[in-house]
Amino acid sequence: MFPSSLNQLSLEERKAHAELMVIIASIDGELVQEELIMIESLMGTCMLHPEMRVDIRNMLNNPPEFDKAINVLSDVGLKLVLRDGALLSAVDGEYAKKELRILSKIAKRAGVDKEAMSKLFEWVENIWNLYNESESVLSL
Amino acid sequence: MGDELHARFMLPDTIHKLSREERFSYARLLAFMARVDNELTVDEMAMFEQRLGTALLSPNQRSLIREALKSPPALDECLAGLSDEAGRLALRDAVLMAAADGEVDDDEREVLEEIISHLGLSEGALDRLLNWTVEGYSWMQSGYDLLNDLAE
Repeated sequence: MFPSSLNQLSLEERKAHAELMVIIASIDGELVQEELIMIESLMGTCMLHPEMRVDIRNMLNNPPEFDKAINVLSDVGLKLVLRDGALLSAVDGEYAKKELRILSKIAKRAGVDKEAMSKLFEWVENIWNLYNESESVLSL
Repeated sequence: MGDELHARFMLPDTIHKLSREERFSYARLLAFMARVDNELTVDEMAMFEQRLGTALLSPNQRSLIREALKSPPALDECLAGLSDEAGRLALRDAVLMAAADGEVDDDEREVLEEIISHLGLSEGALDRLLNWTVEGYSWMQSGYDLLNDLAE
């Protein structure tokens, strides 16, 4: 929800980012509404062309190949995928084992160790508190 | 951290639970907000597109909303279609939009105060929301700092 430098990636990288979000969201075999919302939100942040978004949505039923998508990414792109993948995996309230496995795979590609991953998960958890704060401000 | 977050929390947002009409009005208000200072920066546009995505608007509605960016509707018209809850969510995200380019100028502040007054919220509401927004930006920045640390 807060600003992101995603749209500074090349178009190919932004598309690969979205493809990896699809792969992560569908890896546990079920796609919940919250995951779909987050993918739509990230595609918006990436300012992907509407037609490209249609292609990405179509992939939800038939996810692309992990290796093909990840090979497109630069070091920065890989880290942004790792960050957003962690957010996406957490959005339905828990990290499924398959989600953790794929995040570890991405972390390995990005050269990120387990300790750093724990910090990343803590960072993700903080957004929950932040959103609760906004609900309290607005009595939602 | 273990495998589980607090399961009672799902996506920490409720925009998608509003009716289709309210989500459309919500997006129109954000379009209005985006054009208040007559400039539309890439950051504002990215934030705007992100919120349209979160609202799960249909592609057709998104096209209409993008048109609204070119000729924004009147503020009263935008507010008329919003319930109290939708109005408060729109206010929150209007604050985020206003802050997306790094500062909230006087015109934007005036509009935000007008929305607050329309919704009948307390006087300190804007400051509280701005503080929350600053916290959110810091959180995001800490994510970048973390990503940089990961590389070292």
